[in-house]
Amino acid sequence: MKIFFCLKVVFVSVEYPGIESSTKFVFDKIGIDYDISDKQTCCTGLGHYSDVFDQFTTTAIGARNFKVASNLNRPNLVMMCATCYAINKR
Amino acid sequence: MELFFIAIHVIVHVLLETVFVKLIRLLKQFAISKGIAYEQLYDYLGFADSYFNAAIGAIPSNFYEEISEDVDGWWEFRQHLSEIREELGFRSGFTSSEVIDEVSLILTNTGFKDRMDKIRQSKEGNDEASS
Repeated sequence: MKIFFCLKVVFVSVEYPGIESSTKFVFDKIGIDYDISDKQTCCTGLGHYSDVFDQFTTTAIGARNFKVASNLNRPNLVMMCATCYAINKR
Repeated sequence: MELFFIAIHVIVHVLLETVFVKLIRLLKQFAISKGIAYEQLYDYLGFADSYFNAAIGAIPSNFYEEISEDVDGWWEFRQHLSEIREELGFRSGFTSSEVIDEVSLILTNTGFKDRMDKIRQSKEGNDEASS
């Protein structure tokens, strides 16, 4: 399956890049066809759950990320953290 | 039959919890829209600032000291993040100015920038007034 890999994540890209490298390692090993984009941004996770971000803004950012994936013709998104998964699933 | 009741119990529990969490969140956001609890939100404003200025969030710097106390070696690790990324063969973790402009425009148009300013004003405005 072709997937879009959301790797710009606060707790991954900014804080613990080892998660990014190990996930890519696993994807390569099991033959996952993934693509990434410099245009993708993080999900607002910590801001959302601390209530600094409102739902409308978080949804707008999520919509933008789905559009980035859609433009690459990869509508199936894979998240690297639980917060991204929960927010984008919603 | 016992398994059936356990399954029903779990489903009802999960549904109630989901509804309850959403209700609490709605009430919190309603209160915030009325200007309540800005002082508590101020502690997390560093995340919003990072998102607005760099299109990616970050742990607010006011939490660094406590995280350093709780997690051995965290500060040392964080100081060398750029080198670690380079060693792992990654490009810069930061986004282009084009993307930053796009995201900050979204945050402005949704009214989030105004919200940030009000939260900041609630604390820094009071500090300035009292000094």
